[in-house]
Amino acid sequence: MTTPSRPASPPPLAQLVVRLASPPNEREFVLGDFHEAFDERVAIAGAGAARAWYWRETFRSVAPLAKRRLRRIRHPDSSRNAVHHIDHLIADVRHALRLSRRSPLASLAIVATMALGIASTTAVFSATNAVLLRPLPFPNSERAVELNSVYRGGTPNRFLAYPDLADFRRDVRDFSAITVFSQNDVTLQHGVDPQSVGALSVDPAYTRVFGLRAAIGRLIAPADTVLGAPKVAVLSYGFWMREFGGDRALVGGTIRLDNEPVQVVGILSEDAYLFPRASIAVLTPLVIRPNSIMNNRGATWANAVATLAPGMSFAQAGRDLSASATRISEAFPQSNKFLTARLGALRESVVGSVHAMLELLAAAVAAVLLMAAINVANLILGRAQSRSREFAVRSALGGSPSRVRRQAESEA
Amino acid sequence: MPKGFFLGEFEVLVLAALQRLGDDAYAVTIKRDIESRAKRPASLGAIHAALARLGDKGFVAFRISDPLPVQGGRSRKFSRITPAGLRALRGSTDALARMIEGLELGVER
Repeated sequence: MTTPSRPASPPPLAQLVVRLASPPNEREFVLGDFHEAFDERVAIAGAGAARAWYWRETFRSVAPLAKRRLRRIRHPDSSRNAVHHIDHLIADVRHALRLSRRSPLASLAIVATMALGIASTTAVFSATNAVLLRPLPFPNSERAVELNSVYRGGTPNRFLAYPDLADFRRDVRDFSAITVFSQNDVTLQHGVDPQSVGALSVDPAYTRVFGLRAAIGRLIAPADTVLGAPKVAVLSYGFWMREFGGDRALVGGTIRLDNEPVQVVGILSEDAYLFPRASIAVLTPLVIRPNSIMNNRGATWANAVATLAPGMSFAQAGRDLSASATRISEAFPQSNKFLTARLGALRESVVGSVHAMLELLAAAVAAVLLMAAINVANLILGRAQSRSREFAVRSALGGSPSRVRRQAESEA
Repeated sequence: MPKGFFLGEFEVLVLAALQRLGDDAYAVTIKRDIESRAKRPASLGAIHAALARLGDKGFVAFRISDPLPVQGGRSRKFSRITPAGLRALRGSTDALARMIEGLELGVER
């Protein structure tokens, strides 16, 4: 009795060389074609000649195949490759959805954990982005600076003396505009009960520095700040809508502020940025009385914000301001001996108090997301452990390690 | 004419084989066709690489066959020349023909 001879097979080492040289997605077909041509050679010339042919063919094929494989690595996003990957991805996602239906509780836990982590991170990032990262919402806000006074060795003070500011305006040429303003809330008599509303007395430069526009009427003009000029006011859009129902006839009419009739000359546009607080409802002209305490170097009551001139650096403007303050303190030692001035970025002034808190919050939420991710990774690893049999079957059916890994990644 | 329109010599041979073989074109039959007609060796690896290159250019389309009906039967990757591939093949062979037209090559065929 004769036993059938085993069919000839290609040299394993040569097969390995072809396998390694071929691009992964072509490998199956290249090896198959080699095998088919080898079988033909075996039938024509015998196993030995066929093996020799296999080796020769391998040597001739390695360079073009490897070149192609390298190209695939360098340009992985060629359209055909991308389509291939998308097909795999779609199949993997379908498989993952079927799996998630099989163990709904685990899937729900994963989705809930990730949703919580991502939602809290997104919420805090949105706040951080709006407050810390985005520029203040008015034109040239990155060049806006606040002028502060500092007593030697002390902390900066937001208020300055008006005569000092007038000198800075004259001496320091680094600013394209300096606005002086003061917060003084007023009592509005309208409706049943009088109410206190946020008001700001401003000079005409305020509208330039903060890029204000009037939705109706006009803004504060230089003539309004002259002593004895008729009393006028500009209302914020929100206040006008809330308190007067958006009545256009109000412009040109009068309202009573602090028990005095004041003509409303304009309404600010809806997007107007009001510094130092958004709740400011009324802008009135800042009128400096020459012989009042307002004009005294010892009285620090005025806020000042400036716009740096184009091309002027913050540091240079700060040095020039300090130099001017020194000259003033030498000229007026009685009031200004211990006083100097300092520049601060307006942005810091706005977000300074919440800066550290927001950063801390962002770090805390990032830690929450990290913990959520670790928990989910644990859950997924636990599930993968219980599916080792499935992965073994996939590998046995020809799934390459990278393909099986991609499937696991898609499920994640 | 765009640069990618012209083909290398081996790509011309592969596209010509595809046009001749029709629905039966895969690396093994292409190799056989080139070696028997062009009388030059063509490795399977070079054919696969050329087909992939031509596929990237849109000159060749592919079709994966069902596994052969034998134990452990494998799928074949069949190739077909596209209309763009046909135009490229004609462009390259026409250019070559125009270049050598009227030349005395001094070589016996």
